[in-house]
Amino acid sequence: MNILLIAEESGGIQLLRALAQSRHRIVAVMALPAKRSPDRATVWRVAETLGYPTWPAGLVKDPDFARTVRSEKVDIILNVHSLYVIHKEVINAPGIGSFNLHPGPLPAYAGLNTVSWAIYRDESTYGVTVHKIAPEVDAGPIVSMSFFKIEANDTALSLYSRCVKAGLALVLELLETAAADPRAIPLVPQDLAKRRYFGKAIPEQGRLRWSRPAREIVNFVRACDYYPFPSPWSHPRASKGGHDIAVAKASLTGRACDAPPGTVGESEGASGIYVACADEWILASKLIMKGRRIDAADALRPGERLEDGQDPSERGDAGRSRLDFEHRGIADG
Amino acid sequence: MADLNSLCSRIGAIFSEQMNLEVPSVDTDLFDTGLLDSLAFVNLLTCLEQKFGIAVSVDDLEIENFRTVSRIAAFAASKNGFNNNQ
Repeated sequence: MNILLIAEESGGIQLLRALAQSRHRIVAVMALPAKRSPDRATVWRVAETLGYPTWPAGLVKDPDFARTVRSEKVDIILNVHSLYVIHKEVINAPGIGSFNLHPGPLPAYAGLNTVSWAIYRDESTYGVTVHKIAPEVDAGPIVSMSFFKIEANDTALSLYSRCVKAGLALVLELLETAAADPRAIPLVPQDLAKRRYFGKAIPEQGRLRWSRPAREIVNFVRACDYYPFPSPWSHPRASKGGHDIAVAKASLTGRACDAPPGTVGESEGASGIYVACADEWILASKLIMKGRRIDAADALRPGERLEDGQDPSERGDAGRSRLDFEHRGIADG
Repeated sequence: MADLNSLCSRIGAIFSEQMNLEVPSVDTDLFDTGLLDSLAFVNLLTCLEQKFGIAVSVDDLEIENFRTVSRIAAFAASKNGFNNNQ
């Protein structure tokens, strides 16, 4: 088959390499042109290295691009972690169809940063979806899904890694089915009454509130954890004496507490220091202070009291929605 | 030691052939030099699993396991199911 690949991120690179070893013809690879960080691997750069035509991904917004898709006899458009909304003329141009790999189970987790949202919302399972592209984002009929458990110690990065692996398998399966018999591709309409779309906003504007249950706080910390890489949500923000403290790593203890929320308890040295939440102590192990990741036990003292994160508008940075994230693709799920 | 050396070579090849990244030495700090970003890291995990038959768990995602090629080699060799002949 003739495949037009629109892709970014790790999933895009891995799929490109898998397709390069398949019998399918890659008509072109559409991605963000590699302008910055010449030493970084990007889909664009990998495609160039492999000898494939590379086209700017933004062309998919142009209805006239549909003519190119038809003239190149594209059978399938595959969209993997690219954020451009494809014009409906282009969506309908391939011989078989246009398909998207979404790093989340649909219709429950449509939109952006869904990996983080699932952890934040205390889900126990997650998944990835391959669906046919429709004009409404992440709303087209489902081809296949793969589910997996969210482990208690999963972070956003570890869960995202699992999505990439599972998603690659689903896409390759789609291509096998399409090559054998396109009519056999399952297309199950989504129950859009169950759809939940997540936008760019960060929960609680990134503010940590100590009066919340311990589990909720630790989930927030895990949802922001892309360590050792920058997080698209930054980290949940508390404060001490009017200064920001972000909690980068924390774990549940199961120990009930009746100390006022935000109270700093005993130190466990390098393992962390206890902080009171609404119901239990959590063990805070890593903090971000003044841009540096440090051991919590080095920065806090028993008996101190942490405050909730400050309102961004009061901090004078109301426009901040992301800090120091590295890759827009991961940021946007 | 000879096994670790050959393993380092194989891992270096993963970086150059699979990830289009040239690592100057087995002791180059991959994070501090910016060579290993989030995209490359996820790719690396997949490549390690595929090439050596290991499973990387959440508990393994400790930065020090992946800071240099030599540490990655030691980490991979320590994992259950490690197979250097794939």
